[in-house]
Amino acid sequence: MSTAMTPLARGLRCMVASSPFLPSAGLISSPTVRAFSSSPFLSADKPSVSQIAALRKQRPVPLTLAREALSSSGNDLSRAIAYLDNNSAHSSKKAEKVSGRATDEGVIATSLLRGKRVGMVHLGCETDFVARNEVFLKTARAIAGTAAFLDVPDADPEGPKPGQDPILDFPTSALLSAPLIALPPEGPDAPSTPIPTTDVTTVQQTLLASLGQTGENLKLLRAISFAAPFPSSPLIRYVPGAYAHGGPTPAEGKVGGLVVLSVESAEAETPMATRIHGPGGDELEKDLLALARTVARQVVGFPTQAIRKGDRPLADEEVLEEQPGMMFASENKVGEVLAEWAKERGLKVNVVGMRRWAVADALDGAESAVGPGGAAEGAATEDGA
Amino acid sequence: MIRTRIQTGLQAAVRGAEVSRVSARPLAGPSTMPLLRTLTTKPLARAPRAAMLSPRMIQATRTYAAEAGGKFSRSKPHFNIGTIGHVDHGKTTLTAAITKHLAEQGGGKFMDYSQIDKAPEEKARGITISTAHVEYETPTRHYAHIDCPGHADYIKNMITGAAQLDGAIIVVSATDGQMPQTREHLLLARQVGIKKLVVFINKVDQVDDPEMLELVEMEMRELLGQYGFDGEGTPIVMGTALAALEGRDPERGANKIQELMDAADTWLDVPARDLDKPFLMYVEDVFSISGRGTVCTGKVERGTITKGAEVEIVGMGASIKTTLTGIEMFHKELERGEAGDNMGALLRGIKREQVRRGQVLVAPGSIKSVKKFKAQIYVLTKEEGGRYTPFMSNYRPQLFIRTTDVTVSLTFPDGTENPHEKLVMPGDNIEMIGDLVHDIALEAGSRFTLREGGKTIGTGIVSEVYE
Repeated sequence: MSTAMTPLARGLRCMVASSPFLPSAGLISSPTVRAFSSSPFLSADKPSVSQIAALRKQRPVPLTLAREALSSSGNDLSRAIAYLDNNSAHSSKKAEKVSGRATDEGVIATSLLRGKRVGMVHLGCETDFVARNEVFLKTARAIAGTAAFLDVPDADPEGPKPGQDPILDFPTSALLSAPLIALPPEGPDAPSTPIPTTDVTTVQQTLLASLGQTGENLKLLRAISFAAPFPSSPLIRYVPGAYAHGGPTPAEGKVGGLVVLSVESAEAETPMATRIHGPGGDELEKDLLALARTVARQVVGFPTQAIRKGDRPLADEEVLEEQPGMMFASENKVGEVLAEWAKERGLKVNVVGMRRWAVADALDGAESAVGPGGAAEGAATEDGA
Repeated sequence: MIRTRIQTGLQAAVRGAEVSRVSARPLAGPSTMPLLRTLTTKPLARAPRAAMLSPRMIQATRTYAAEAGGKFSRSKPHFNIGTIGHVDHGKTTLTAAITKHLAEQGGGKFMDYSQIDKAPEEKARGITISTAHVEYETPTRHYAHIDCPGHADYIKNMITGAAQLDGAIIVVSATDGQMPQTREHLLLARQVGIKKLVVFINKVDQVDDPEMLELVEMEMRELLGQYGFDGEGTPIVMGTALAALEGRDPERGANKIQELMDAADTWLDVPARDLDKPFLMYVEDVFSISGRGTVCTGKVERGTITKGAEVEIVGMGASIKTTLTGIEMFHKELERGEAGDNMGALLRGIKREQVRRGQVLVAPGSIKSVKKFKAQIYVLTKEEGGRYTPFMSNYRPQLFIRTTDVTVSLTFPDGTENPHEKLVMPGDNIEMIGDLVHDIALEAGSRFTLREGGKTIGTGIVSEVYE
């Protein structure tokens, strides 16, 4: 598929052929222009069609960019990939161009790390075609993982004070400039500490790369995280849970929920630490995580706006503790189900933090924090899948 | 007998246009009304193909449709076409260019950007799915142009029957080539039941290298093949919609639009009309008339039938074959019945107890009675009158179809991750497996509604039937 024509001749020919028709936007990516500005291009062989196709299989970038990457790296595939990964000029330009467009679609991605740390992000895009695409979802998962791993920088290491909302807003600007954490797969054999990728890439760069590939305005709209205090208090345990609905996996979707349970022992002589490290402690920890996940499912499944009845006039189905305990396979109210569950095990379980986000939520920029018993930003209407 | 059926078939086709309106795609069940209010309804249009034979009628159409607000004529087969593509690849420009080009040929009315891309407030999700505000005609077909903002909207429209895509134009820019989300575009096309596509590679004037264009085409054909379309045969037209719209560079502009529409006319198949499909009548009531035998009454959903034809009674147990010995409508005897008729069918040698409401009377072998099926389901939101709570696997609502209702148990298809904790929420569209407590006549494309406690909670369309 290679050609005998020299790049120069080709460049001249195409100038003659197409320049009168070139609208200004086309100039940016036109190779004619680059032929003037970058002299190495003139001496390099023109990348072959099959090389471009091969590069695009690995990095689904626009054709013109794929060609540029190959010509400026001497038609070497691995160097071209490196060029694309390290050069975000094209994507930045694209980002600038599309920055004004509405990002009403997108995904809510959650990440729960080893039952201790949890993060949830809302990544916006323009169409739900992109929202369903693997390139976009991968980015969302990675950002959620990073938020969970890093946690909000100024979080209190002692853990949340009583009555304080344990889930903290992760400022998106801080998250964007953070290095993207490549998380190892969860499992018993996984190494205990995630390693940042060798070339440190920020969240912002990763986002830009996906923007360049999908050609849509992608925006990190909001992020939250929670990390159980370490070392944990002997008296109280915080157990996070996360669930999302409407995506390819239960970790991301159109609606996402994040909860934090506080667990204390009902008997003073056997505090929480003793219970966890005593006989059956592993089992108890597993049960608690499963419970937190079920609570998160409940929050997602219903149009939950608050944990318990407060000042705001809310319908029963919007208040977690008043909802029918559907996810617990019970007819009783969630509050009763939880109390019963805790009593059976000699525990006191409270839902101390809750967030329910939907892609369809109206975002007005200012996020209101949620205290225990307070209210999460409303998700009155869900739309789409 | 075969001869008579063909003859009557032709007669019916010529009688045509008005009758076919009645038989336009029926909506599932009794209570899709709340839905319809939020969606735009499908244009009632299924013109008979046979009527094309009359040149006089085609002539009439042109003048009619060329005038704004003119009377809609049914002389040409109708086709619902959509454009699918990335936001920047020129869908709107292409749509405008098509209306312009065809308006110049006398088919339809030119619509510019502002008319196609309606005001932003109208674009807010949920209201925009304007199915019929863009229309155009080629010499052989009438097209309604559909453009939905996203995947979920298309699927919802397909399931509820508000807008059905018969075919689509995939728009790809030559500068970018296919994008990651092009896969989602093709998946959507598959999911809404589109068998054939045409591809328009836009903005070719911005690419100087013919090899690049070849690459775009090559990659596109490969991807089409991967998603089950005819990668080799699919027409791929390269041009520039903007040039066509601005009336310059006819070689890459207007001529290519013409080429694209020619490809659409010839490559995309008009779906079969109800009259051309095998006969199906749903049984509403059964009477025993002394001296004559058993008569069942009901509405003919599709196809035609003549007196003396073999029919099969299907549903709720073993099928029974018999002969239709008489057709009656308005207390008069008829020789044939057809889609849209409310008729009485006199059945030979059938006892009254052998036929029940909920069964169907069909051309033998054209439909099976099944208990298990796969379907795409749209779950109504609270605002649409549906549930406010989610449901999980093994949910058991009533399934209403035609004249019957039966309890169905809904589960997730095999291979679903963690099916025990998966939710189905109001507003979702989802693929599920249905298990009926008793068998009924179902086939791919059958529409039904799901109700619970006297409330419609969802609507669905069968995609596959099992045993």
